[in-house]
Amino acid sequence: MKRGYVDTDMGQLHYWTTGNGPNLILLHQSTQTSDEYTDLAPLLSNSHTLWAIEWLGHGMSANPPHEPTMGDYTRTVIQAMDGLGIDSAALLGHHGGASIAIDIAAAIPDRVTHIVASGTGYRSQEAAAEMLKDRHTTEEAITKDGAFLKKMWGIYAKLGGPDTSMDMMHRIFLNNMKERLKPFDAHDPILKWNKGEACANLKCPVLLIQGDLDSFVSGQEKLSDIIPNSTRTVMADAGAFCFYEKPNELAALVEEFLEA
Amino acid sequence: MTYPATPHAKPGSAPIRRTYIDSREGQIHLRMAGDPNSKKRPMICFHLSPSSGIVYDTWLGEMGKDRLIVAPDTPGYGMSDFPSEQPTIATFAKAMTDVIDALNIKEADVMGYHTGSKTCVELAQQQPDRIKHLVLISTPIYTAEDLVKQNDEMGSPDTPVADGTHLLHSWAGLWRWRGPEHTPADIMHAFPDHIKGGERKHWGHAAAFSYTYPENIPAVKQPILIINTNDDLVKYTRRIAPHLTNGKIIELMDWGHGFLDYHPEETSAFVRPFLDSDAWPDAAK
Repeated sequence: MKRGYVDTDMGQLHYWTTGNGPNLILLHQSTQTSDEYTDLAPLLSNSHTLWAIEWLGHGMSANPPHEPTMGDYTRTVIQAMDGLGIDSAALLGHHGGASIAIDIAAAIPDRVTHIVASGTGYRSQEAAAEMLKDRHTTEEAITKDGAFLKKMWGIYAKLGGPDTSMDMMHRIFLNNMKERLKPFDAHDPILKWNKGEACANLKCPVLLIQGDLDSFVSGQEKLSDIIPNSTRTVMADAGAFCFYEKPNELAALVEEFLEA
Repeated sequence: MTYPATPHAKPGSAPIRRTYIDSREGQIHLRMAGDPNSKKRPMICFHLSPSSGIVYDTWLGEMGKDRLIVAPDTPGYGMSDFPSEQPTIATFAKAMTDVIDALNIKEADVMGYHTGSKTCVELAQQQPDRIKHLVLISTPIYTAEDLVKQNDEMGSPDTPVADGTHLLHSWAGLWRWRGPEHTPADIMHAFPDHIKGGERKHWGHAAAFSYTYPENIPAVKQPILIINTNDDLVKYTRRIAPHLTNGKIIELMDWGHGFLDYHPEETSAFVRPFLDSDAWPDAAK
């Protein structure tokens, strides 16, 4: 696995790459990093060239100079594809990363062969607006005694599935902590984006995946109705961090879908 | 509203770029600023344990105004690969030679922060013709009793536990030794890289505790400027004086951890003349 940076018009994006074969771009969920897919690397690198790209304001990628829009997220990943010489690719994303994958495919349909959209559902724009209002009142303040760390650790522990080990939780928590000081919330641009419009314009085959314990996902059945040429799988005992918890099962699903 | 690129970046700071180089210990991640073609000698900065080059973000923006400045993550820290086995200070110094080679740097000045200071001293011995000046932030000399205490506090693994109390332990260590200007947000900025190493987080401290200044610093012939601030190593650093053959100490008791973020211009005002004209700061003894 090699890590590197690629230039975009909003600064450098950080990525890792490994493998041989057709390109498969991996887009992590909001407030995580490319580490979310580290455990997929040995499972898919024999059949694909993997590119795990950290989108704007995440991991080691540049912080945007202002609150980003969905267009900023999408455009800079496309610029990363250009910079890395990726003419066409399958896209895999989880949570917010799935939304970015969908938006990229709507923007450059001729360069996207497949989409694996995990942990993403559908909510009306009114419901998304309500969620935006509510979430800003639930952030934990950073306090001198560090008590917020223990509280956040407890919240994260509940989001995982039964297969989440201590080491995994350490990685998940660490990756999230890097995002806690950003002056904007990475979820906001995604909640403000019109997902229905992008989904209706998709041309390529789409695999929707939902972990049955993933409390962030609702309305994926509706999304399945909106997206032409989509199939849907529900994974048992999988939580919000399923790519950390169940890389073997997910790699098998992805491989089967991409080969078909 | 425009956000700064890094929390303490000032208007006019040199922009920071990040990259990786290949080394004998795997990929090494580094931050850099300034013009590689500057006539001033490049400066390479080594961080403390268990942190990363993130501690130099503001300093890079300041010194990058007139020279190339590079802050690598030492093997096992930040985004650099873990070394193949538990490292020594010599391991770190050899890997940093790979950084200097990869960047085609012929001669350099070096700055170290705690563990990074020891890497500077070792590198200056390994590459005496290439390293021209050393700026060392703390140079502790420990008694046997001190070492037992330091090893107990920092030289052992920090294992994650289900109730999250390991996080409070790490946070308390950083908060206890915070600098006078440090805010909770500053500590949080450093926190992820502080805990990233998990069970191998202590490797840097273990390397530092097994490398001693009395045996090594007299062999360094290049000029050494030691910055002793009011941080956790202040009393141990004062013991270095009799071992210096070509060095001086500047004591800055109103400063502590974080001074490179809060006082970059004041620091560069005495570091630049030292690097460029061999001029000791007036207050150095």
